[in-house]
Amino acid sequence: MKIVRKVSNRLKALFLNGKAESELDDEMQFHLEMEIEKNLERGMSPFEARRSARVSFGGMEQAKEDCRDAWGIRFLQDSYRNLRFGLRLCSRYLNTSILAVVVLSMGIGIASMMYTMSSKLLDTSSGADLDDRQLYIQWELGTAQGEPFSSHDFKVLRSEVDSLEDLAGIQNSGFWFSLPLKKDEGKQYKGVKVTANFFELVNAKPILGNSFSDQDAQSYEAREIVISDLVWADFFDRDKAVLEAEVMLNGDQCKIAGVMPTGFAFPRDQQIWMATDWREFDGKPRASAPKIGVTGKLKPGLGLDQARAELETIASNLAVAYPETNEERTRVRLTPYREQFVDDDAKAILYLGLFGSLLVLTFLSTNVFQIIMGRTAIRSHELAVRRSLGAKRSHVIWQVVVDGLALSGMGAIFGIGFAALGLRVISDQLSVFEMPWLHDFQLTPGVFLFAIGAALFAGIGSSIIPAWRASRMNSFSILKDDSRSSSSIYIGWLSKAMITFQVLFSSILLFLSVMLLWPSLFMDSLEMPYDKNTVLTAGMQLGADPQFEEPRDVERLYPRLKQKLMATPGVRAVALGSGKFGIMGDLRGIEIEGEEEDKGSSMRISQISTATPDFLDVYGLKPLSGRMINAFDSEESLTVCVVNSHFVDTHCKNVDPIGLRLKIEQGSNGYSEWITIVGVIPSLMPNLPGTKEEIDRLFSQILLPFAQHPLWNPTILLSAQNADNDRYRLAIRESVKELAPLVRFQGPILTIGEGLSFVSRMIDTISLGGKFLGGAILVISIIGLYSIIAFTTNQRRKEFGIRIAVGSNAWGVMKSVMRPWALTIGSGLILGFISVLSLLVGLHSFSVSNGGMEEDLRGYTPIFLTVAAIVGLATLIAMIIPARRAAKINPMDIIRAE
Amino acid sequence: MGKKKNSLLQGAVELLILRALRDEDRHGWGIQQRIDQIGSEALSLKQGSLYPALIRLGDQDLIRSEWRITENGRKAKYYILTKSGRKRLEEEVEQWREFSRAMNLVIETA
Repeated sequence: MKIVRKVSNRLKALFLNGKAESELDDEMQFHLEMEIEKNLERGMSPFEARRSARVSFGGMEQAKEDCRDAWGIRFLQDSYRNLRFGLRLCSRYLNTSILAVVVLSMGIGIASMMYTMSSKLLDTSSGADLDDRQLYIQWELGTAQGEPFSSHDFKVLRSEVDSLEDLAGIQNSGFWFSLPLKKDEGKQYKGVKVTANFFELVNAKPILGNSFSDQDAQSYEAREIVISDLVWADFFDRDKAVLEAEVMLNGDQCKIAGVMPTGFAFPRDQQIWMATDWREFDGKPRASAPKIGVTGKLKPGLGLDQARAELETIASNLAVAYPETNEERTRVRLTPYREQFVDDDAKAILYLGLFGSLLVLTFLSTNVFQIIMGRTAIRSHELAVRRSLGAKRSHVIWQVVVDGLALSGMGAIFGIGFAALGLRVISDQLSVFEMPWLHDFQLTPGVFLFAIGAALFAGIGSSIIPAWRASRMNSFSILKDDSRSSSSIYIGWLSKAMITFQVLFSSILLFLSVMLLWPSLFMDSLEMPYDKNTVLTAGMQLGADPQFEEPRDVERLYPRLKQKLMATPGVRAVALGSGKFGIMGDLRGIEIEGEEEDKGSSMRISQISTATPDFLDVYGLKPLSGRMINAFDSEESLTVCVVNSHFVDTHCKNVDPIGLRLKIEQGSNGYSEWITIVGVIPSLMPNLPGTKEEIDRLFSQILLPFAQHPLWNPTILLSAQNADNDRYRLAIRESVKELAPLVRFQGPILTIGEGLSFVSRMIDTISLGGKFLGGAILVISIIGLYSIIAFTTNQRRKEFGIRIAVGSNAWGVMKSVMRPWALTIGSGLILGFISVLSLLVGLHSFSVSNGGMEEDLRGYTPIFLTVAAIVGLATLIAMIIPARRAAKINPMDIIRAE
Repeated sequence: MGKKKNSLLQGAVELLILRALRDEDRHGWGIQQRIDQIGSEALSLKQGSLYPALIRLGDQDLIRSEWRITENGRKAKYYILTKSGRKRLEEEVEQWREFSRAMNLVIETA
């Protein structure tokens, strides 16, 4: 009942505030009149009666303020009144209000975008409904990353484990999706091969059709697949007749069993799911079995330790049965799935993103602080009147804070619009990658909450100090001499500190944004020592085809494959290579005969690749000295290799490399036998920036003969004039399908140029972000600096008027405007330089590069100079406008005003 | 001394108002007069501080108010003790007496 009465009283006071105020006036007036009458009856004079009544009553306004407090709506009323006042103030000081709202909307927009992207990139559920019992299971080898299970080990674990409800296997795969009559008009999607229980285990159901049954996993004829909403839209316009439609997947006929809901892309960014049980690897060597991700669901009531103990018992049995592959694999790593891909690095990215948002918010708060400080100084007369009429300090503080909140509220509204627009541009830029987790950034309710939080932070953060100072102003001296007192709130060490802080942060943020532009400039200037559009690369997975008992069996396939491909019109050369694009190798330790042991370990690292004798023909190059790998380099002959020019410049500076012997690190088995260098080939690597020594070390390469070091996953390299023409891709697909129908391709078939362009697009997007951030920071900086310099210059109008009147010229006035700020801005720039330098030195300590720190820092000189020039120009623009205005002051106006 | 007196009275002002309204409905000035009349100079308080206390008592549903015409034809806001206000007054008076007795005992025998 009491609460009802209290609430009813509050509401009445809030909504009938005018009536309540008028009743309070009447009531107090009545009280006063009754007291006066009593005093008159006592024989006092009318003047004395009135005076005595007022003294007995105490301060009327103070009593009213106390009553307003007692109504309990004081805070709301004040806020509402202050908000209205703040909005009126915005229209009165339109210029500063627009500046503040622009700054806030950009800042809140940028911070919201950073938050949205960080949260999206760290969301590993990809539309699946995961709980804490869902685990990701790997081998524990004591390294930072666990190791996935082989399909053989997975099957054993799945059949024997009891503490988990079930296990699902996941193998990433690239799929070329097309319709039967339009094989060439397909599209490459990321997909995944999974066990039939996959969807059930991750609590996901198709919106159309069904998920897999065990028969689907066992049937290799017309396999059933489940597609994402994206594929459904791309190829079928979301037509429900899609079910049971026949489609081609990597040239094989498949049927669509179901369509997943929008946003489902589990485990990461997959669009096509195919059921499998990896039976094609049964009976094959265990080393050839594919590595697969494994997820399982803990049975209710059981803990991680119980599951781990059981799995490790099974693993120990496997180690005894298959020591050649499983000897070291006796421990398992269990991680809640939701945490698996949010490791410490990912968390660091999130914290970095949030820290960046906070930095941007702090930076913009500094700008808005300047603006609010100026507005508060202008309002000092009005605030002094309020104080002298009995307003408490807290009321004055709240009035100024509400002004800040009104501005930040408007900033938040525009900021969210700004963020939505920015995210759309970024999403469009990144959409070419077809990785929904990388784009498809949406404004979720969480982002709105973040924007509100950011607005509160910026509003309160930027206004609390001006509010505090305003509440401590001496009302008497302000009312006596408004202009001098109002300036006293503003000019001082605080504003100078803020300007320094602002220049410091502008420099750091601009440096970071220019750094983001750098990779794009680098990619634009990237050149390969051959025409990158003439080499097509296709990674193969031989292990999927039972005709290959061991990698060496590829020698049976290769001559026929080459013959078929060479028969395609336009093909100039074909070879087999290894690694990404056939040129990038594994980084391994090496030992060179006769080399001293005390050299740094980094000196003995090189990329190791494997190639067929025709490898250089693909690039149209010849060996520089010695010979290339040839057909006589077989399993039985001397173990040989060729090295590239970078290797020679790094490891054989003063000796002829031909005839030298080296050993290559072989994992835990130590080093290989001696391998003799028989030739030197030119570099196939791009012209990266850096010192020659660094480049040589980075791209040092050893090429081993394929016949002596066969691989399960070689890369086909095809050279043609326009290798990006689809007919060459088709030729590779058809030829491989004809000779080895079950061999799979790893990822899309791309020319080296296309591969680089893929990377380049990604970098261009980052660069766009850099331009966006840099532009915004520049605008914010100019606005912030301009607002304070303009305000303080305005405060000194009288002084400038007098100076001009006594003969000072325009340049003299401009100098006196700019001089006090030059030192402050200079300090900010020096501090910014020191901060960036510390940042770079800090980063250098984490770098794997062996280059000297001085050399590295010298490389940043152009960025330092660019940033210093940009900040210098921005500050000059911010100073020059108020300075010119001051120089044009008419002394007569000032004298007249006095 | 003045400050001490005020802080002492601050806690008791609501009790004084309830007591002033026990026998009769009164307006703000009437309550003030009644407190002055039954109390002494020692209990006098700034008249303006009465009104916030009246609002607080109203919020607790201990008193209610209505506008009436006074004997001399003026419009005034009268305060009326509610049932719960009357009960609270009895409790408070009893507590005050006990406290006062205890204090007297301590002061006289210590």
